[in-house]
Amino acid sequence: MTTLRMTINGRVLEAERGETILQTARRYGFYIPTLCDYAHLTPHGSCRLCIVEVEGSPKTPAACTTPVEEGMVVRTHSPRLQALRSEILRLLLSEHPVSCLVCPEQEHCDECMITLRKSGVTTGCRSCPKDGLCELQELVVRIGLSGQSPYPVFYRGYAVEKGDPFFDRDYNLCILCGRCLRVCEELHFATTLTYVERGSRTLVGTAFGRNHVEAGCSFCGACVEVCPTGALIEKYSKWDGRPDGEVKAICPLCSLNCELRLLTKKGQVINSLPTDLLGKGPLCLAGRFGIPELVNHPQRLKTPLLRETSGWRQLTWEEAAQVLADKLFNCSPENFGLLVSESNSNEDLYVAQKFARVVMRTHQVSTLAAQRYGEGFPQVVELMRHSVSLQALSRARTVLCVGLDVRYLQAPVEYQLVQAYRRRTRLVMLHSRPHSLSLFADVELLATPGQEALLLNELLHLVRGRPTSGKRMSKEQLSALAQAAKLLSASPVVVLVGPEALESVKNKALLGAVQALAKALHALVIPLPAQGNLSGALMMGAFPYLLPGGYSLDQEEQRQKVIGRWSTPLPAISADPLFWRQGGRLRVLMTIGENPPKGLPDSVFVVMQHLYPPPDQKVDLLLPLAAFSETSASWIDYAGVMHVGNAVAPPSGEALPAWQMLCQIARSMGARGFDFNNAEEVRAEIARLVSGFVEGGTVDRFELAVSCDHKLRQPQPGAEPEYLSYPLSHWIQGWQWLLTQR
Amino acid sequence: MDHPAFSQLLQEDCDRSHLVPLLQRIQQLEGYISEQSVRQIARLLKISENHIYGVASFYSQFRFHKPGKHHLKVCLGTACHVQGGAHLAREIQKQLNLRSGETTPDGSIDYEEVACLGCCAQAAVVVIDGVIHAKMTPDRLLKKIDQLRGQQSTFSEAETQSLLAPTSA
Ligand code: SF4
Ligand code: SF4
Ligand code: FES
Ligand code: FES
Repeated sequence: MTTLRMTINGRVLEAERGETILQTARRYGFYIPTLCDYAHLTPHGSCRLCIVEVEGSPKTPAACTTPVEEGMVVRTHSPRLQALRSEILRLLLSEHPVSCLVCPEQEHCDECMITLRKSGVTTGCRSCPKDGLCELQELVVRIGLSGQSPYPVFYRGYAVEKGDPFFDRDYNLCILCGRCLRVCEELHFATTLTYVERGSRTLVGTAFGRNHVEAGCSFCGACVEVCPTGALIEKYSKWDGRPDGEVKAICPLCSLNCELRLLTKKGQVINSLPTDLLGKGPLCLAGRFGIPELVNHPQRLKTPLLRETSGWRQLTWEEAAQVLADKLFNCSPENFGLLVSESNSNEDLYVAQKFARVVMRTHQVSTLAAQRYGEGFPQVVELMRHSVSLQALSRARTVLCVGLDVRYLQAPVEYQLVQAYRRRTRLVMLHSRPHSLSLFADVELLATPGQEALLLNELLHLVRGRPTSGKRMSKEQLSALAQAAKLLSASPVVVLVGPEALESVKNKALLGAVQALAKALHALVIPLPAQGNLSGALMMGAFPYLLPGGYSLDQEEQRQKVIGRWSTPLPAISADPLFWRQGGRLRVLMTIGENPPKGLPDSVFVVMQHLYPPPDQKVDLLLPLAAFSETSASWIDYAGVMHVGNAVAPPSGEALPAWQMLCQIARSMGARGFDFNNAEEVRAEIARLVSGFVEGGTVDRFELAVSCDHKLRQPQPGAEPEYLSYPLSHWIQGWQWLLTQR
Repeated sequence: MDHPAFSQLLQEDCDRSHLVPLLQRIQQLEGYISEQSVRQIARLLKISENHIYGVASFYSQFRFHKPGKHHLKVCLGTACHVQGGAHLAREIQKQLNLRSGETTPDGSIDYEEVACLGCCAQAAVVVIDGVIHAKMTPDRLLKKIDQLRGQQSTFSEAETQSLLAPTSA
């Protein structure tokens, strides 16, 4: 990039060719008022507030769209500019219903609502949900606008659009800066928002006035984040006003483990935003809008509860620990089982398996992953062992997506694909029902459910230069296969495998076919499990046949390492990998973040630590679990990368993270090695046994393998994404509503 | 891709720059841009339906409803206004519940308000199916409308074409 010399406000400085005046001015710390400009979005030049004077030109060009030139002399402030900007702002405000932004009685009005000036169409600026956060409001102050405006107020009178879940749209407050539609277009294959009509009737909207669900919106919330006014606003935090805190946390809702900026007010999470909207992309609707509902839900458990014939009795933690310790003290190893969830943090999972092995002397600790994935579980784990970061997409020439639907879940992947697509990376998609990206696939292979493996195997034939058998395929499928094979010959190839494929009924054959094809193409495969910490559960050894580090139980070297670190021998008796099913031997079942399986005999004492009460299963002792946002916690994502999130808000009631609860009980039972004071200490111990376990690092998964053949499988009604064994829609109302719209 | 408007364009390599010509062609053939057509363009050009709608709604020449059998224009230019054009418009809104740009639910009449038709001497002016009606009053207008709704289109094929042909943007 070449530099040139120019002058801003009398200061001679160096600018870079290709930059705009605004960019240069900002780099040198000059303030120019802007409204439509936003971070990395293409300049729009619509608000005209950034006008500047350029010597030798009678016009006042917009700084955000005018490139710098050699020898240019720019003034950012002058009486003329000030007058023009004030006028522009007045015009904007004449269409803005909150005209008391500039009312002279403003201050007193706040106290006692004395003024009669408030025009009939307004309800006062203090009743806008964006009050105190509005960029327009801020500009009125910065530009120093005051006094009555000479322009009559024009109220556009649009009905507020409240019909879609998650956010409301009041286009009466819209200033047509176009940020929302530009960000939507930037982040997605298909934009939902556009200007409709022109001239004075211009409005932001969708085709044929459809609602957002019909218009293809993925509810990523990017538009809401960038809107400078109250036009677009989250339903949940609409009237919460200015947040008083912001903390980084990690989303536990799927294996992408996105970074979240959680906004708080008075110790409650009120909003959730991505950390780098135009870099890493938006969040999915669950991460963007679901979090406050999940963690603040009125049904959250607050204290330990013991079931008695007359109902639940509230206990203190000491009492609860005593009840539990008594039960466990008399429980022999083969009678104990501990069920954990793939949504639990590493800390909880690690201490849970240590508790089972050291305190209860059994390997009977597990997630329900085996049930979820059935006979394809070893293949899933094998794919996870070799998984890499999605950054690999930046070098791919062809991407093959298998069973990947990113409209509502794992939505950030769409932005990665969009960027690849704009670099002319070719997209081949294989799935059994068309979805939001079908339109943009260079080749879409539509399989009938269960036919995916067959198509992949035929593709393998073609890639190897052999003819297809042509059997059991339609004409369209055959021609799509031929095209796909052609595109896949352009390497490097990256294969993305979505939850739909990973959890499909015939996943063993399907994933086997993916592996074979990837091998032939020298392709990288990235599995994207739906569960937030499946990697963590495997790497922490929260399975009867795995040790911390993901080693199998009989790997001697790691065995010794674990024994050395824990200063106890490992349990000798081998565990039943499906212990929770055989009610016969089980006497005490503990579950953490997991609903106990149905149909357990009454004789089993069931202890459950969870965010929410159980749906209808029998539970004897209920313990409140701290949410991911209430404790420092770590996760391992789809690519084996470790992330640490912070405590954002105090726990609900007396809720505790599971590791802390287990340590308390272990200590009261006289066990050693459970003296962790905080999550960092737990992580330090994990790091001794799991190499690569540092924040931002990739854990070593060299030995990770699962060999047992699980034939058991739960039916998957609609395969709705789950969190802590509840479908997400159970707690996120907007999602419930979305499902009814399908 | 079965839309007749696409057949010739399909031979070429289509991209976004074909959007407006495509819309014009469809409007010419069908008289309006249906949801169905927008869906098909989206598939052909790989752009979102919302984007297409945004572009189409920019140009006043495109319409999104099936045209009515008859076309009624009421002038609201200065001369016609003085001679009661606004009364005519108000009457139509009251009696037929029609606003400019709308069509009666039975599809019989398209209604449009325009600003000056260039024959101010005959104000207030109303144009029905291309024929100018001078010195109109609300009573006469409503009678005319009743007649229109009771009878078939008086449009000739050529008239239809000329009405639907895109005015160059
Ligand atoms: S809705 Fe908000 S972001 Fe979109 S144009 Fe209006 S003011 Fe700008
Ligand atoms: S929520 Fe996301 S997809 Fe929906 S309109 Fe806003 S930016 Fe577009
Ligand atoms: S910021 Fe430059 S015109 Fe709006
Ligand atoms: S004002 Fe109506 S024809 Fe000119």
